[in-house]
Amino acid sequence: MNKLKNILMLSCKRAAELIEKKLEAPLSTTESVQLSMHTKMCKACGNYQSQQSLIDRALREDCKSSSNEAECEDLKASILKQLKSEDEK
Amino acid sequence: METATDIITELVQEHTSELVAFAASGVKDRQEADDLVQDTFIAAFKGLENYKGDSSHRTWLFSILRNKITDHYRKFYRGKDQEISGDDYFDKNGSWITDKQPTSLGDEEHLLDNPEFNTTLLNCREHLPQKQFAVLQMKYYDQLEAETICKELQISSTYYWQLIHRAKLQLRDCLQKNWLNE
Repeated sequence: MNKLKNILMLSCKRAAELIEKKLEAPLSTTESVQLSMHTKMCKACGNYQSQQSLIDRALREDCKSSSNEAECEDLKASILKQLKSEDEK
Repeated sequence: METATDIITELVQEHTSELVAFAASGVKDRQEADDLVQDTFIAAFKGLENYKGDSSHRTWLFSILRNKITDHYRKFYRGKDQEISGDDYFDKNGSWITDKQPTSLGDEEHLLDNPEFNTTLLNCREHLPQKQFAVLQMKYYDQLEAETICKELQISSTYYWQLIHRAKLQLRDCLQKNWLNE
């Protein structure tokens, strides 16, 4: 029984690693059982798992920052000036 | 006849703002984004005669910019940075340290639709240590395979995963601190 407990018991540190791994590749059957047992009992790791998949999705989505048109006019002018000096080289 | 300068001038007028928007979401500050876009146009100008016309000018510019951004991450990675620090999220038994324990962020279903949440996430991303930022961006922004990133940066896959894992631990912790306290 103790042996079984040892197999099933996962530290939070190890659980967090498996959560990261799971976002990339399927876990082995043992890992999968270990992780789901752990997250059922441990609220913190349950939160960690759902939030990491949220972060993963957010990072994958093209979060474009908006660019300010007025600032772009200055940049355009500076680029054109730079190109002109390249041209004269 | 249109000279190279005429062509590039037109491209600058037409595409600068979307190129900057694209670059700005990938690098840490606006100045860096501007510099990358400027370098892109200079490279385009110099390489105009090699432009085959088999892709649109826009696609061509974006591919130059993407290469510049990857180069930028590579340099960024090489920059000075502290090594991966010891465990400050877990105690010696591997349990969460009390003030690092993940708590609920509220209505997580709809968080991604909230622009403020995305802003908080981007701010947190900017505060990552340099190496972690570089690998995270190569993975998510450049969408490169782990294997390619390891080769580019000449690091082992174990070290790569450590960096990604640390980055994600820190991102989540930063979100919890900054999102819940707003």
